[in-house]
Amino acid sequence: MSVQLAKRWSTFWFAPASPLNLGVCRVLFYGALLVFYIRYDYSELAHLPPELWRPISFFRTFGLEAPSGATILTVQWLWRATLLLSCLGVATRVCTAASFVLGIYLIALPHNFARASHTDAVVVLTLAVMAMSHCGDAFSVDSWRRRRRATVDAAQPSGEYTWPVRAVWLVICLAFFAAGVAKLRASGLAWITSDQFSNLMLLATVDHAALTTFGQVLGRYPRICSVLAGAAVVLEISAPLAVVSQRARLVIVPSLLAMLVGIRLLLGPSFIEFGICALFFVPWDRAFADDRALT
Amino acid sequence: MSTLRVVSVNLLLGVLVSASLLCIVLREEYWPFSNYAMYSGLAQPSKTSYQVVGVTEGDPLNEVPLESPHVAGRFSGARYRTAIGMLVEQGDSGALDELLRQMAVEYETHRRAHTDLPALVAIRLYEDRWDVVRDEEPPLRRAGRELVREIAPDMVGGR
Repeated sequence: MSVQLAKRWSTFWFAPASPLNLGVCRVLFYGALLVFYIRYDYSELAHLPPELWRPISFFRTFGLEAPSGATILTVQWLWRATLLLSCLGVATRVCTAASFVLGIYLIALPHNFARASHTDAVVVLTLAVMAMSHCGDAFSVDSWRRRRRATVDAAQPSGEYTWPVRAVWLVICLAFFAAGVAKLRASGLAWITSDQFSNLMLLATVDHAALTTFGQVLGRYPRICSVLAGAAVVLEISAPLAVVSQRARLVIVPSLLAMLVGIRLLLGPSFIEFGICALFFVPWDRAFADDRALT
Repeated sequence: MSTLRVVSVNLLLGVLVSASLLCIVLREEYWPFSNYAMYSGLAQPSKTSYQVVGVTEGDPLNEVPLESPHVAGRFSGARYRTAIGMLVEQGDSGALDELLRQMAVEYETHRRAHTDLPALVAIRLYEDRWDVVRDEEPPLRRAGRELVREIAPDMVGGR
């Protein structure tokens, strides 16, 4: 039994795959991160009142203190450079490792002020997965240079190109699963059956910049809101199925993304970071009829 | 893949799964792992919220909200409101003034790039209480507003 389980585990994570899919994921993931984060200047955090500094466990564990504006600027530019080089696939192993180390520090920084939030934790975990992967073996300057020198053949299908993609699926689905469990544990079925979701929609305009005012219309109908709340919880609880079942993935992943778009439209909070990591769900290699030229 | 490599990857997968499950079971946050408890409580039909407004020149004086992400950058949204709430509860007027003054500076920086925006002459912090009134139009009513703090004009814009 345990032998069979171990075999299934191994087959799932390490089934041989072409390096192209992971390579395209690398280009899109790091490219999207660069575009998304370049608009933020983290050095503004250095000007906040020190009374707001509430170090999170990560900073406490490593004894990190509030940095100066110059330090943040330096880390920020180094991180942007490693994101660009990781996207292009230049010195990929080094750059993806550096983008993880610099990224976990920089992304964590705002969470030390006033309160921690969760939207970008999946980015950090995806950076960790990519740092440990061989994502530069295709669709990269590194692989192009290797082929040009003709010292080595193009990378062959391997489990090295399967596990990172599936690990990112796992990271995303565990986050949704945790959110679903948290709702049921904190509020029980009342989270679905009460008027609370209607209240949430109607009060959304107070604090958040919802993209539309449709939440104000929908919030007037508590029963419709309860149906939406129920659908959200069912979807979140079932998210782990998307890791192991292709059929479930085809339904659950687009539904979860639609839910995030709905939250942005009706309630305001943005989960773009989840959308960026969700790029790993797309089988990019199928878009290329002949991937040999790219590896 | 070598045995060592397979073991290393399995270790990483084990950490990802066990740390996530630990956060879920213990209802704790060990960033970047989390139990993702946002919105898990029951939203009540009334809510208190802090609102920062800039007072602009004109007759009469106008008030413009200063919470746009374009103005507040990475320190915005729920984090920004939590920070204000923390400082108000602590009664730390010095830190609160500093935070509000920085909002003015950021607004001023933004205004230089958008010359059609009016200049600020003061910043005010209000505490608003909102009630859901589902059967009325609009379905949200501001039940009360209290001026918590106002920064004098000479403090706005000068760092």
